[in-house]
Amino acid sequence: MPLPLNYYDSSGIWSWAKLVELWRFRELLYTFFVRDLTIRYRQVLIGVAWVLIQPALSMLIFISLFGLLKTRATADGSQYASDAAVVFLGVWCWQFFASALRDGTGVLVNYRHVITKVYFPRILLPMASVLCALFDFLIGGFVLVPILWITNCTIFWNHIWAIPLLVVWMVLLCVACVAWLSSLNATYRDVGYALPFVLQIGMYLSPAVYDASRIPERWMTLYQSNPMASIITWFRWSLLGGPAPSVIATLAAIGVTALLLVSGLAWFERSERLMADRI
Amino acid sequence: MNEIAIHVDKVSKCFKIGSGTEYARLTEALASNIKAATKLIWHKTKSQIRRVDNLAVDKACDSRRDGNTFWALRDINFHVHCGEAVGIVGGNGAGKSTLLKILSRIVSPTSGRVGVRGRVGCLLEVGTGFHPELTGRENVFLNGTILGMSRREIRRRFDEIVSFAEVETFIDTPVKRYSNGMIIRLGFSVAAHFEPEVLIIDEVLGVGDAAFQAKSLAKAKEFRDEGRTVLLVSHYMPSVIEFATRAILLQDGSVVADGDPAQIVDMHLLQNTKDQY
Repeated sequence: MPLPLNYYDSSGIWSWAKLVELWRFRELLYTFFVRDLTIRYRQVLIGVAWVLIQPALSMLIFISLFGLLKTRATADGSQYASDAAVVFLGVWCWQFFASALRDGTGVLVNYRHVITKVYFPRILLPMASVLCALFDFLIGGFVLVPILWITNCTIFWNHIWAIPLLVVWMVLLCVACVAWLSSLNATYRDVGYALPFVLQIGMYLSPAVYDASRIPERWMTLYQSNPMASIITWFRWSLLGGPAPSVIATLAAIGVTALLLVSGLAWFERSERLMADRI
Repeated sequence: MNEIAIHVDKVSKCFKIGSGTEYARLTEALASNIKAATKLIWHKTKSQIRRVDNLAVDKACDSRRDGNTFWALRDINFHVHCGEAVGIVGGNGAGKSTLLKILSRIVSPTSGRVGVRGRVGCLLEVGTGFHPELTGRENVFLNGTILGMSRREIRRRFDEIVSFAEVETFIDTPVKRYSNGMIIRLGFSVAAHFEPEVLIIDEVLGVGDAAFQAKSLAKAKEFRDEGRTVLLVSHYMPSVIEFATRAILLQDGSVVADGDPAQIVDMHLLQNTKDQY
């Protein structure tokens, strides 16, 4: 069967053909993912153990800090047996988000020697960074087992089904953010400089190291329309049985994610055409 | 006549020149985007007037500058049929490399469209995406998939690729311990075992020595003889005459002649000598 004559021009809109093309390039996504992982753990003595140490250590530091300040991560009278699992869940999710954004933002600039030499859907590069962060996130989850065991917490099996949905939500949120950040960073390097600072602020605006129950009730809906705030709170709900965010806040958070995703992919598509010229 | 393999339809490409400051700030970029959008609407309604303006500018400057935009290519039109071997010749800055980059989709045209049947393989530079920390084996897979091969295709031809590059004993050593020659050989070997429907070769940008250039030309001939479509850009006229079945002469971003390689090369050389005196 003869191959079709495929036309392309300067217009950049998301279309069905784009999705078909992405599917055709799925092996490249896998290759980028494997490459990022291999490079990360080459010439590293303890290898994957870093992924386990990072969230565990952060959690210990914050727990100790709360101990010194004679306070708790959760509000008084909360049903959690111990703060350790609560803080770990938050730090664990946040580190996934932060490392996906950190790696994804610079990836187009780091691979500009490839971008200016060969064509492929550029979105694959930031997507591979997200996959890499997801891999670390899933491995890091194993630290939960000893934490729950030591602190005598019980897992709330009734809500466990929500976890995969939350992970998918978080991945989509990361893709949305890196689509924006990486393409902006290709033209304006300021994005890369501003990001660590913004991530630090973001961490305190999300219930990463404390529980959302510490937030005053009248700010709650606004606070939890931040997708990461909602996701982390839902995570605690599904694993530890904490209070769930309100429906309105959750819908708002999903709306924010969807908006970011659609606009991010559209923007990426637009800037993709000029990427090789501008980067 | 064969089917069309490449269709270049009214392709133009312009670059902004001397404007490091124009896009320096986000606010300015947004402002200029809005400006561009309004200009586009204006442009569409007043296209007739605009065209006259352009002609006037052309005559006045006799160059490709138009304010602070530079036309690397202007209104390029041609077809390439399946199985043709086309040489693209032209002086420095005639737009050859820009044309190749548009054909291989690395950059997109400012206006016009390009149609290609099948996959485009590009020998612009070998070893694209090689990572020093990865082994030869990992780099073959990485580089191969970046070029557009499937992993199955690479697995099938892996032994051939390695033996062609003569790096069998080092295939599981990180590439950072390779010599330059080995890296180039391995990169070329991967590219040479890719079998796209359309192959684009830029000898000008090609790395390596005379032996390497000869190797890439030999590869191009192999492709041509298999009946695939090949586009060759070269500064070395004898190889164009020897290799191509048809040639296109680019000058100042436009196609000025299209036809028999020997005649086109003569025209080009004549043009060069005229420019020199």
